[in-house]
Amino acid sequence: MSAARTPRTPRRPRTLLALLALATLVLFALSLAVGPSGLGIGALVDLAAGRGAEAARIIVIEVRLPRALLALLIGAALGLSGAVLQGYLRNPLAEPGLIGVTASGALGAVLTLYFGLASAFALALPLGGIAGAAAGVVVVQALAGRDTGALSLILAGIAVTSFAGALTALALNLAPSPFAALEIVFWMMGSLADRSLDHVALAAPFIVIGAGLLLTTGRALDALTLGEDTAATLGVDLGRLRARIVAGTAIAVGAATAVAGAIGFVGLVVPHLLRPWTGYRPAALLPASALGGAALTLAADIAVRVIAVRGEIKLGVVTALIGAPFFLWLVLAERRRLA
Amino acid sequence: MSRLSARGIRHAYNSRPVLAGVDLDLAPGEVVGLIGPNGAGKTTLMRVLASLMTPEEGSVALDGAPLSSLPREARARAIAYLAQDGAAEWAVSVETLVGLGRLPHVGPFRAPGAADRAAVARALAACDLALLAARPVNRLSGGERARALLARALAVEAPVLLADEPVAGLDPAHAIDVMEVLAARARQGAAVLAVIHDLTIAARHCDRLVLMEAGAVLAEGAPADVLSEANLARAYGIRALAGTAEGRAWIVPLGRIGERAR
Repeated sequence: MSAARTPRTPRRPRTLLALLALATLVLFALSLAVGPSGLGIGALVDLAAGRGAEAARIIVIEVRLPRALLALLIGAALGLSGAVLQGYLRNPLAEPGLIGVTASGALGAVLTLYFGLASAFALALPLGGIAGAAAGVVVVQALAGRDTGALSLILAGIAVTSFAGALTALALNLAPSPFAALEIVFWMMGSLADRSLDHVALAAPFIVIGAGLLLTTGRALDALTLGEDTAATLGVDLGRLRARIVAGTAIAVGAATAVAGAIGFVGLVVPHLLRPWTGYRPAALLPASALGGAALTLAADIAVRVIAVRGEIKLGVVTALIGAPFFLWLVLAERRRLA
Repeated sequence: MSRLSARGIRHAYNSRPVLAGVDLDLAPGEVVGLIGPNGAGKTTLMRVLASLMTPEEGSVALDGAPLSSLPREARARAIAYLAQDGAAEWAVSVETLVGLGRLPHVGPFRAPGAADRAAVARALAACDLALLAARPVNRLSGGERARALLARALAVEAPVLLADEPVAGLDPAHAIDVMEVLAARARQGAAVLAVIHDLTIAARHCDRLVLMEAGAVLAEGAPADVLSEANLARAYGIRALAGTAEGRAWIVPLGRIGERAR
């Protein structure tokens, strides 16, 4: 599919990256300054100068900092893997959930809630999520087989997603108590509230390793602009490329899903919006999408705290509310283009 | 300057033989046309030569060294491949597209250097694309797109160029342009192999023709010899009118053998 749209003229990748980095930085600081306790920028400045109250320090470091760090890391992981998958599949509708990682990671986490492990020790939930994502990816690789093509990967991803979804529904169906069911439903909505620095410490190494793997694919994704055959004659090892993409996405997005639940649409929307500003070059889109994903997730997570309606709206609900209409618009635009 | 030689290539899809022992040599400085009816095995042979598939039997060697023994990157620098119905999946600029041909020369995590930019400029000039360098590829006409993809293959500056149907779907003027670019590449010392369906284009623009039929080479040599009445009858089952103009052969298929002339 040729994503045929007119490139915008400014195509200075460095300027774009600098702007996105600045936006991310500002949103990160803002994320530390927003919350129900009402500590604002002034309190932050006091803390930085070492003269804040102990209570303020605890709120900023132990409540808001994990949240901001997770939004940064998870948003970057989602944006980056979305850009990689769209480049690999040469389809602007691809997103990280496509290869089954999100669904199987969610299943792993839900099972720890179902069996009560999550209440026994706090990190059982993210560990279960990572185990689920890992299992999902092993199944996807086995189903996709030794064939190096993209289609077999999509089919395997759909199979794993639907099976994991079915098992998650079964867990809900058989939930031991209404509370357990509610807990599962709430978790699946995706949120960064009440996460600790332990969650950050657990997810960060995986996200960094996964993102590192994904960032190595830029050249090969550029070559894939010419299709799989021509890319192969330019020296791209398609089998190893797919393995790197699947592993990188599983590690980064699996860990993200494990600590935050399912946060949809970031990986779909961000690469799509930034693509024209990178001259449609897949390699240039990767770092831009990582920064853009981080900025968008930070912004959405600030929004859920600012828009106060009977408690907090879940982050995943907000990204879905923004993302789903965008997806619809994308499908319509794509149809107009093909018509 | 490299010589590509295939020996005893055999391959079958689901036990249906597609290549039945093909030998083929490609020397520097020549444009060789690979012709033959649909299903004769031309594209499969091209894929084998481009290392896109491994045949069940036989091997391809570059200057005597088996292709399978070469590192992937060395192979990519030595053999450029222009795919049939090639397309650009994203709306990159013509210059970016052509620059992709330099990927085998640029190390990982490095920016293209002066040599790469010069090669891209040469490829753009050879295909008369200098004025369209900044144009997004989705806003090119069919002929311009074919030239851009050809320029991408030229930018590799590989000693061997394999082109699968480079003139399919082009009007006569654009087809002649493309064939002249291939000839110019050969004059610079490259070995060029092109799959061509138009027999007159093949006869007029190739130094040598290889005629395939049912997975084997039926004839090879000078165009006028290969396109003999007997060979055309056997390979295509057609009668044709042939002659020469400006020192080169032309050929017009008249009808299938066995049908009465109307």
